[in-house]
Amino acid sequence: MLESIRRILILVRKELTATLTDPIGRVVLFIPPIIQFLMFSFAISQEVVNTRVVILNQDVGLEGASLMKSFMVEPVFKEIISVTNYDELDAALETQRAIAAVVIPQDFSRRVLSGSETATIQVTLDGRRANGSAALGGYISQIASQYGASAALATSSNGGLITRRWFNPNGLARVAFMPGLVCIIMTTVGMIVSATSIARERELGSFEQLVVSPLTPVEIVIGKAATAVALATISACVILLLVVFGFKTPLQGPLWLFILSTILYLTAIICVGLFISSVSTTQQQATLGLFLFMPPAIMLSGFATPVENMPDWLQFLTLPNPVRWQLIVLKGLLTHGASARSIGVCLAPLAGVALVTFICAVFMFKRRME
Amino acid sequence: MRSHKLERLWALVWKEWLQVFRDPSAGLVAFVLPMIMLFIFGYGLSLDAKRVKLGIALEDRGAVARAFWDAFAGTEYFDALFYGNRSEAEQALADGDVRAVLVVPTDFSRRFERGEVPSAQLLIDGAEANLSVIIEGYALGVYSKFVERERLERGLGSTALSSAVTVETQMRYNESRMTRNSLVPGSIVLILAMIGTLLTTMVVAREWERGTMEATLATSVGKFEMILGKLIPYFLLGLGAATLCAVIARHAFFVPFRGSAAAYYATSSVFLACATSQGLLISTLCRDQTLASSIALLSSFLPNFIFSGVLFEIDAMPSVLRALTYAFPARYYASCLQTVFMAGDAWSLLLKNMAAMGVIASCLFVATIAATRTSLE
Repeated sequence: MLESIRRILILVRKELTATLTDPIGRVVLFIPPIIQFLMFSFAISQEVVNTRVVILNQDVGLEGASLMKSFMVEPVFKEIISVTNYDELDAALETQRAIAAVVIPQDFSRRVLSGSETATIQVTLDGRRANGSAALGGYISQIASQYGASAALATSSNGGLITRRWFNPNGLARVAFMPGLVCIIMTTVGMIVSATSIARERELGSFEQLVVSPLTPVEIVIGKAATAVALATISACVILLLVVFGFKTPLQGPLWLFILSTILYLTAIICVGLFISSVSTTQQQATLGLFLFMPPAIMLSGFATPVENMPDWLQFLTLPNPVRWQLIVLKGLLTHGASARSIGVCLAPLAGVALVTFICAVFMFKRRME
Repeated sequence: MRSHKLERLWALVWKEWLQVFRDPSAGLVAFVLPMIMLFIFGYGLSLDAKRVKLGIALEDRGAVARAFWDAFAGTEYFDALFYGNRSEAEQALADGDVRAVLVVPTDFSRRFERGEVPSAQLLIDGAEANLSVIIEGYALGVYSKFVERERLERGLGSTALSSAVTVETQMRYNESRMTRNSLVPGSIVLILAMIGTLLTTMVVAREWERGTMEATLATSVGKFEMILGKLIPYFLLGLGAATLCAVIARHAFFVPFRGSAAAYYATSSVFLACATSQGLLISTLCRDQTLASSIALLSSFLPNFIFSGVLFEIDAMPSVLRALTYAFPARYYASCLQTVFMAGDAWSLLLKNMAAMGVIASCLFVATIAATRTSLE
C-alpha cells in the first residue's frame, strides 16, 4: 500500500514536471481560461436592452404620440423607428432593423379619452429572435397597460404588486451568469488537461515506457487524474479570485465547500477525459471525443436555459450530468447564498458520478494496456 | 497547362478526402455530431417558460388571502408551493427550490375588506433575466384579475388596475411560438463551425506535427493549390452535414423551411469558406495539436456559440464586444439561417450578410496564404 502511494507520487511529480516545463502546457492551462473568462463575463447576457422598435402611429390625436413618448424613455429601447405605412413596417421587421413592431390604431385617442372603451394596439414580434422577442413582448405590454392605467380615471390607490428581483438587483447579466461561466471554464480546463494526455503519450511513443514501469493501471490512472485535478483546481481558484476581487461578487458560503465540490467535480470531469483518452488512438480522436461530450453536458446543465423547461424525460436524463450539480453548487455559493444543507445535497451525486467515471477510466485503461 | 493544374488539384483533394475518412472520428464528427447538437437544441434548450414554481408565503389566513392563494394555485402558469412565513419562503428562493416568492402580508384581507387595494410583494430569481420578466407578467395578470373579480363580488367597483389600453400580440415567422423553431436553425452555426474549423485544425496540425506537410511542400505543388486542396474536402464535408441538418430540422423537429434550397446552400457555402480558412490558418500558425485545438476552441466554438445572437443578446453586450461580433461570421450566418428557415428568402438581408461573411473569408484566406511558407527553416 505504502509502496503503491510512493509510486503514485513519483508519477504525479513526473506529470507535473512534464506539464509545467512544457511552455505550451503552461499556456493552455492558464491563458485561455483567463481570456475566456474576461471576454465572456462581459459578453454573455440574455437581457433585452438597447433594442430597436418600429412604430406605425395612425392616430392623429395626442394620446398616440404620448404613448410613443412613453416607449422612448424606456432603457429597453435604443431607437424608435417611425414609419408611415405597413409596407415600411414589414420591411423593417424582415430585414431585422427592428425586433418588434407596434401599430397604434386610428381610433386610439378617441377610445382612451372616452373613459369606458378600451383601445387596442397591435404588437408584432420577430419570432426569429427566440430569446429577445418574448421578453420584449412582455415589456411592451407592461408599458402599454401602465400608460392605459394612468390615462384611465385613476382611483387613487397605493396597492398593487410590488416586484423585487433578487440575486441580481441591478440587472447585471454578468453577475447572473458568473456561476455558469466559472463552471464552464473549470470544465474546459479539466477536459483539455486530461483528454489528450494518454492519447498524446501514445502518439509520441512514451506510452510504452509508462506501461513497462512498475506502476499498475489503477496507479497510473490515479496518478494522472490526481495531477490534472490538482492543476485544474489551482486554475479554478485563480478564476474564483478574479470573480471575488475583480467582479466584487463575494463568496456567500464557506470556502471549503467550494474547494470540496470543485475537487469532486473535477475528478468526475477528468476521469471522463481520461476515459476518452484511453478509447482514442490519436490526439485528434481525443479532441473530437471531447467535443462530443462537452457541449451536450454544458447545454443540458441549466447553463443557457433552465433545466425545468426541458421535457420531463430529458430532465431525468440530466441527473447523472455532473455539470448540472456543480452549477447548482456554484449558484448557491456565488449568487444565491443558499444554505449549506441544500448545497451539501449536491455533493452526493457529484461523488457518485466521480466514482463511476473513475471505474470506467481504469477499466478502459486496463483494456488498452493488454 | 491549365488542365494539368486542375488534375493536380483534384489529386490533392482526393488524397485529403481519403485521409479524412481513414480516421473514423472525422466521420463521427461530420455525421453524428450534427444529430447530437440538433437533438440538444431541439429538446434540451428551451426558452418557453412552463409551469413556474412559485412559493406563496401566506402570512394572512383570512378569507380573501385564501381566495388569493386559490387564484394563483389554480392557474396553469404556476406550480404553487405553500410557506407559512416570509423567511421560510425566502430561504427556498435562495436554495433554488422555487423561482419566485409571493408574500401575502398579515393585513391583506383586512385592507381588502376596507375597500383598499392591498399590496403583495413578488420576489423573483433575477438570475434568469427573461424568465423574470415573464413571471412578472404572469403574476400581474393573475393579480389584477383576482382584484377585479373580488371587488366586483363585493360591489366595490373597478380600480386603476384595469387598463384602458390592451395589447394584441402576434409572433411573426413563428406563429406556434416554439423557441425550438429558432434554436434549431441557430444550432447549425455551431455544427458547421465545428466541422469546418475544428476538424480542419486538428487534421492539418497533425500533419505539421508529423512532418507530412513538409513532404507535400517538397513536391511541385504550389502554395495556392495546396491550400485549396486542403480546404475543398472539408468544405464538401460541411455541405454534406448542412444537408443532413436541414433534413433533420425539417422532418424530425418540424421546423418550417420557408426559403429556398439555393439560399440555404449559398449562405452555408460562404460561412463554410470562413470556417475552413480559419481552421487552416490556426493550424498553420500553431503546428501543434494541443495548442491548435485549444485556440480553435477559443476562437471558433465559443464565439460561434456566444456571438451568434441565438441564445445570448448581442444588443446587451458592452460596445467593444458588440463591435467585435461583427468580425466573426456567426452573427451573419445565424441571421441568414433563421431567415431562410422561418421567414423565407429575404434577399436584401441575405446578400448583405453574405457580403460581410465574404469579406471575412477573403481576409482569412489571404492570411493563410501569407502564413504558409513553402521553404523550410
